[in-house]
Amino acid sequence: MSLENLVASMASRMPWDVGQTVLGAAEVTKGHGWDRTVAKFKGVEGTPAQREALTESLRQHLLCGEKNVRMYEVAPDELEKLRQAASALKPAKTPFSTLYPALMMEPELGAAFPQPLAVAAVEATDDGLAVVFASGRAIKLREPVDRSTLPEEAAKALAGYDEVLGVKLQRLEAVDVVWIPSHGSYVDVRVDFPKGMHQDNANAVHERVTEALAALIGFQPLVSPVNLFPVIDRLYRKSKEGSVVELAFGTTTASLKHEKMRRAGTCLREEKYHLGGKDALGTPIEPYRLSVQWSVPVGPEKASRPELSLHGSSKLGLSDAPVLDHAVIRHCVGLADFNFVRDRIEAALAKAEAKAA
Amino acid sequence: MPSVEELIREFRERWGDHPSAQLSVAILERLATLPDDQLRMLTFISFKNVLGYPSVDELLIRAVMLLANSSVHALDAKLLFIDDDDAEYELDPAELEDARKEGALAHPVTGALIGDYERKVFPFFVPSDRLIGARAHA
Amino acid sequence: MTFQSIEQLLALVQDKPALEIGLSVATSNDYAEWARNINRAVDHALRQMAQNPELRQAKGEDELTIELVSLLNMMDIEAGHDTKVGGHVDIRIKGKRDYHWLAEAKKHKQDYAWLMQGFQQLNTRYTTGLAGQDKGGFIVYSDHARIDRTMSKWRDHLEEQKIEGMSFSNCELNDLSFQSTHPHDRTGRPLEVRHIALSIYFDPKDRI
Repeated sequence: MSLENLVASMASRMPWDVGQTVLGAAEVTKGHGWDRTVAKFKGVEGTPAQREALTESLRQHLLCGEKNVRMYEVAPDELEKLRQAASALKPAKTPFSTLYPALMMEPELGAAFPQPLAVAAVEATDDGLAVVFASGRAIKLREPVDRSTLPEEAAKALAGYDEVLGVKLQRLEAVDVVWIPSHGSYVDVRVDFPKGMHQDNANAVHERVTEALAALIGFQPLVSPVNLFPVIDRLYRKSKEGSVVELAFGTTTASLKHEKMRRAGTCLREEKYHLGGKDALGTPIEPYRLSVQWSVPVGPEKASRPELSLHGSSKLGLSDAPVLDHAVIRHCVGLADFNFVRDRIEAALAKAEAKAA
Repeated sequence: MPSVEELIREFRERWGDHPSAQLSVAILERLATLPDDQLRMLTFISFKNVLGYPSVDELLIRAVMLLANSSVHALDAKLLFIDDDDAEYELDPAELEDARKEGALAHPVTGALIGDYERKVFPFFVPSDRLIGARAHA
Repeated sequence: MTFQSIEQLLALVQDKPALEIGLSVATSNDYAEWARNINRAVDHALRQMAQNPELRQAKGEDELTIELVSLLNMMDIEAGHDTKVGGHVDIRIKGKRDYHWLAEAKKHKQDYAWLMQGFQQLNTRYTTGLAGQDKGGFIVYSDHARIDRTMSKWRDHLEEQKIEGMSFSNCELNDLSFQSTHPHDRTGRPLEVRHIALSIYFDPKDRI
């Protein structure tokens, strides 16, 4: 696997800030932005050390980068049965498994499209086992169109609009993972969730992945995803737990508010408008949508900024028994910072269960 | 750590004759008393409003720059990038420097190149450690 | 909108490169970037001084340096002349976080001993060699023709001194300048000195 393949694979799924961290750690000098970086490494093999470092980073990113996650609580004996069945699985013979962990790019991807879900790899991690499914997927992207790049007639015809948007179908190789812990009781289904993908699509993929796993192992251990809604309030109230960068809440005066603040070192828990609002109400606010960002060391003098989003809807916020079956975890460089975030979800779930009991 | 009065004295000694000196001192006096959470993001418009100054003009810009650039160092400058989806990202100044050299800013998440980045990057200021220490003196 | 973009600010400070440099200095990430922007400011001031060499040709070192410092002050750079630190350094520029950029400025005579003396003053007398203070400048004023040759010979002369660990590189900001780097006598940390030229040579050949 050349540096060209690895960098192109990274560019197709890693946010640029994550990519820069990974390239820097592998001592690969980046270009300016993804396109120029990919162009820079066209035809480049790279050193064995660079290829090894990037291969490992890419492998980890496939297991945990930019994921829509459902967690399933599985009883110990069922979990042991699942571990044994999963460890016996073999990758299917597909173009994806041949290339793994590098990803298939256009035009080969288009020629192989569509590709159903199939096992590309079974990976042992430090703390569990990952069944890695790969498939071809298409997502609809909406992008602003720069009118100055259009032919004159077209630009004239669109002159009356404030903004012109283009819709395009982007094909990519999607990697979805079932992760089974060596210890603990929560099994993850981690579905690739690139920016622009809709939650409805992610829900459909979740169903397909659990069905595909059940078909392969002959039983269905993943029945109901854990309700993550209680985690929202737990994390919001834990004042030193990362920075809250997005928050939406209902209030007892029946108004809904949505606040965003994604700036380093700032937290919505402390923001004056937010605090002023809270204090003025005199009653606790009821958050239904939360994003928390952390700073996690990932090397000497380098930190990643993983972000956990638990995005319920306003309707959920007003419900008696709200259920949120997924979390979105972004900007992880690798397993270390993903597990950092995951540990916090598990801890919040444990506290919520203890409170309920 | 010097107090705010000492910072003001230091400033006057060095820049007392500067055309923007009065504005800089007024800013320092105002920043001494604002609550912490109102200091998280100070833009040129914030300074204009806080001083009741008519507009963001050269004098005001220079007044703020002196507080950020000189050895008085009461303010730290930061950069905010807001993309077409209104998502906000704090930029490292090295990213802006790269953008100037390359003629485009690499979007922090997508890595796509943005040619008209100067329209989408907004400088703002926060109190420096020196000013924070000086406020704590009071 | 409570923000003003860089585009809007630059429009406000249009045709005022000093203010544009000031914005760059303010948003400098670290000492290296701060020093780079200080060098841009120094170049901008020297370009103004280069406009009328006939007015400056007869001036002495101190006068020229006072003018340079004054131009830097007008750009809101905290520059001083003859500031007393371990002697009389010609130019001391101070910034946030105790950043310093010191420079010696010499008017070139016939041989290079005078320049060498100035360089050693900077190197062994005035600079501390500490972090945030380990970059500086050496400014050569010349009323001789072909300052490019002067600078080239100056670089050769420095090389001949065989100062331990000294290396040279070209300057990305200005092709008449160059950079020397060597372990500072006191701290052993690399001292980077940018050697910068101002020509005040004036001998127009259009007189009848």
